Amino acid sequence: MTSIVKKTLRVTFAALLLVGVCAVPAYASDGSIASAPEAAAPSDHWKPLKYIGAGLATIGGGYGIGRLAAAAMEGTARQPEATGAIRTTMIIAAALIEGVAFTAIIVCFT
Amino acid sequence: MRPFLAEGDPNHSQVDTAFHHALNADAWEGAPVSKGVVMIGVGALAILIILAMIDKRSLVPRGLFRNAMESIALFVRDMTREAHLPDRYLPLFATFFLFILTLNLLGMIPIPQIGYTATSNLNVTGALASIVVLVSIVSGFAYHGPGGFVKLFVPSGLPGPLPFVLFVLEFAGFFIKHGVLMVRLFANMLAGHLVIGAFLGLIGDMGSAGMAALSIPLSLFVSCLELLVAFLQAYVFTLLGVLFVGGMVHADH
Repeated sequence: MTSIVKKTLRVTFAALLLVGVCAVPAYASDGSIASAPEAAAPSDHWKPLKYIGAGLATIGGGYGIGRLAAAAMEGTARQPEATGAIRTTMIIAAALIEGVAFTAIIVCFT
Repeated sequence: MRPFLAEGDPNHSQVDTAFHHALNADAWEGAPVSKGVVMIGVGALAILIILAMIDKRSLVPRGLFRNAMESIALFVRDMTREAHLPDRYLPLFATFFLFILTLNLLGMIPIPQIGYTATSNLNVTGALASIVVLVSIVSGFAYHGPGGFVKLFVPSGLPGPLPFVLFVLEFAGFFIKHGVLMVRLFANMLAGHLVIGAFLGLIGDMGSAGMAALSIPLSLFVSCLELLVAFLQAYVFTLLGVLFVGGMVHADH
C-alpha cells in the first residue's frame, strides 16, 4: 500500500471515529422528528398579512439591489479597469442586502 | 388526474417528495438520527478525505486536484490577510469556507434516502454562527482585556450618558449582526430548495405531462442559480466572519 492510501485510510478511520463520538447526543433524542405531520394547523387570521409583508420585503430588497447594480454598472462604465474590484464589492453588498430581505421574510412567516 | 407517485403510499405525501431536500426527517424509517445529522457527517467525512489526499511531500502542487485545493487555501489566506488577522485564524475560516461549501453542494446532489441540504437547517447555521460569536468574544477579551472589550463598542470622547446608550445599542447590534449571518445562509439555502420544490410540486398539482415539460427546465435553471448561490453564500459567510472577528481583534475606535 502506498503511503497516500495508508494516510487516507488512517484519516477516514479517524473521521468515522469522530463522527461516531459526536453523534452520541443525536442518539439521545427520541428520533421522532417527523412524527407529527397530522397536527392540524389552526386557522390563522394573519395569514394574508404575512404574505403581503413578505411581498413588501421583497420589493424593498429588489429595489435596493437594483440600485446597487445600476451604480456598479455606472462605475464600470466610467472606469473599466476597476471592474474587478467593483464586481467583488457589488456581490458582497448584494448578499448583505439580500440577507436583510430574507430576514424580513422569515420574520413574516413565523 | 393525479400522478402515480402520490397514490398508494400512505407514508410519503407528494409534498414530501417535491421538497425532500428542504424537509428534515428521519434518515430512514425509524432511524435514531435525522437527515441533517447524516448529511453533516457525510460533509465532514468528505472534507477529511479530501484533505487527506493533499500531498505534503512537495511544496508545489501538481495536478488538478492539488492546484484546486491550493487556490482555495490561498483564497482564504488572502481574505484573512486583508483584514489583518493573524494567521492563527486561518484554519478556522478555511474550515468555515470548505464546510459550508461542501454542505451546500451536497444538498444539490439527489442522494436517494438521506439527501438533504444541511445548511438549510436553522440549527446548523445557528451552530456555525455561534462559533463566530464565540471566537469574536474570546478574541476581544484576549486582545483587549475586559475593560478594552467594553471600549471596543464605544467610541472615545463622547459627552454625558451617550457612551452607555451607545454601548447598549452596539452590543445588541453585535448579536444581531451574527444572527443575521445565521439567517442569511439559512434563508438562501432554504429559498432555493423551496422554489425547486414548488416547481416540482406543480407537476403533481396539474398532473399533466405538459406541466412537467414546463416545470423541469425551470427547476433546472433554478438549480443552476442554486449552485451559484452555494458558492456565494459560503464566500459571504466566511468573509463576514473574517470582518466580524477582525473588528474585535483590531480596535478601530
